[in-house]
Amino acid sequence: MKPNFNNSIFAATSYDSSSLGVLSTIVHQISEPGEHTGTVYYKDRFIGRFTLVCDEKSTAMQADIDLASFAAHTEKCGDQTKRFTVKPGGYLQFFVSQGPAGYHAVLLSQNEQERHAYDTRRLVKGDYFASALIRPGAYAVEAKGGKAKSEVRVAYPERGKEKMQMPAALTISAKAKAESALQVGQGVVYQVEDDDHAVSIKLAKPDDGPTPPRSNKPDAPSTPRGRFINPKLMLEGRVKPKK
Amino acid sequence: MAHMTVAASEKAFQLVFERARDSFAISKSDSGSWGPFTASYSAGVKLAGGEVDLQADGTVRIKELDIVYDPLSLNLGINIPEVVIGGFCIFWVPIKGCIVRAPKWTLFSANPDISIPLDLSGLIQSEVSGSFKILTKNEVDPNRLATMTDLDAEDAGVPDKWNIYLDPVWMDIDLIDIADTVGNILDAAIENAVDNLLGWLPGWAKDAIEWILGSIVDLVRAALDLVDDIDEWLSNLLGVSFGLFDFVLTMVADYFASKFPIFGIEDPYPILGYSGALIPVKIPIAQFAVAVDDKEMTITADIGA
Repeated sequence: MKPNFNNSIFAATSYDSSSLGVLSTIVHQISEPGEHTGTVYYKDRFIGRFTLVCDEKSTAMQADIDLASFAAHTEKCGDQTKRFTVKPGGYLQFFVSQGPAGYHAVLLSQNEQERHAYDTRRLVKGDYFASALIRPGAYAVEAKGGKAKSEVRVAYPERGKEKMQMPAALTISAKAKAESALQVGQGVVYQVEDDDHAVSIKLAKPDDGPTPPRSNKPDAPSTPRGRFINPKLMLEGRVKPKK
Repeated sequence: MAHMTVAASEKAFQLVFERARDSFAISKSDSGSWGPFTASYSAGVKLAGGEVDLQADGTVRIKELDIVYDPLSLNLGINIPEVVIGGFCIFWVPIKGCIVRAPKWTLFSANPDISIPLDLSGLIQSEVSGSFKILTKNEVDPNRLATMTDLDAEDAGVPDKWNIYLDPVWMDIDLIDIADTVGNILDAAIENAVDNLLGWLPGWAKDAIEWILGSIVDLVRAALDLVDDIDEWLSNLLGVSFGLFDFVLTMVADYFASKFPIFGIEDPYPILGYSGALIPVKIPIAQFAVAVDDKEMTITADIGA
């Protein structure tokens, strides 16, 4: 009867752009046309490679790259690389569909003048780091190596009869902090305003909801304690049996 | 004038009917799929009660013959829809709208099925009424071998017989009662199934899933198309979707018309049994006839034709 839950979703309490896991995603804009080479790592171990084609002819504004899919792909297909296509000015989205956190990707781009790399562990201005938080509680948001701090709170859900309507994602940044509480599953989007930093959202204080009401049942009577009787004293008549 | 006349009063007819009634036992199981849910059942069917009323027109009226479904187990299966989170807009621009949308994360790696077992043994009862005419058949016992003489068949306990059956003129089945407790049993089974589905999760996770998905109990009820009137719902499921009541009616009709005679007379009829070296004396029965009026059933026959 127990279904196959995506357990990592329930286990996640920390969302870090430098060690990507479930429920979080990095969005990076790509503008240079041409073929780019990407490499994917899990806990600093190479697990796969992909090719990104940034093509004027393409109409795709978004390419979704599931980093968790590379280990299985490499095992199955060997060196055959995955290919993604996006139009110049479009966006790459790196995310992890399942499993524990620990992923990052590096994108190598080369034009006539220079060769440069984009590393998801070091976000750049214009990137987005977004998460869908489902564990109720208070989260600490840190960026720029701890220099920028803020807090978001996920409200404990009130179980209702009707299916909820998910509100729009809340956008925050180092300057603009979230004022209101998020709903369970609502997106929070961190807009990166400076180069070379990571963003982390960590559960600081979980909210386990209202305490269940105490039972109205009377307390169980305490177990009566036995008397320890020295048989010698009993034989001497100094201890009488209880009536 | 007939050589032999046997009469059975209405009360005596009631007794032979009850013997036939109590020997009735069938079982049936089936399964099916109806959109968002599947169902299967396994039923044992017995008969009880029933009142015989001999009619002046030569028919036999049977009223209030109870169909007892015991055991009756029903199993409902529902596919819980996929639960996803994410998919929100990360970056949008006026006029164009959403430019980048977050991926969707699936909470279940496969759509889970929940199973709701219901033990409804003895909780549902229907009732058959009908009018029957008397049908007589001269039948060879199916266990009698072709090489057997009448004496061999007598010795083996498989003699030929004139049998009397009740051949339906019309029959009607009514679902007369579904116990009040069925609604509670169904509600408890649904809650138990949902609890089994999510019970291992911490409280916050269960609340979060139900926040996203809505009440799973309500979702299950909606998938089953459970209306407030549980009787009607169950009656439709068993009677219309599975056709159980029609099946039972057919089986009861067939049983009385050809499977179990209410009365039988050996043919040839044994007049004298073994006596020393003498073999039994058996005399053929001819002109076997049965008549019914509002007071009694009369069997007439000629012997030794």
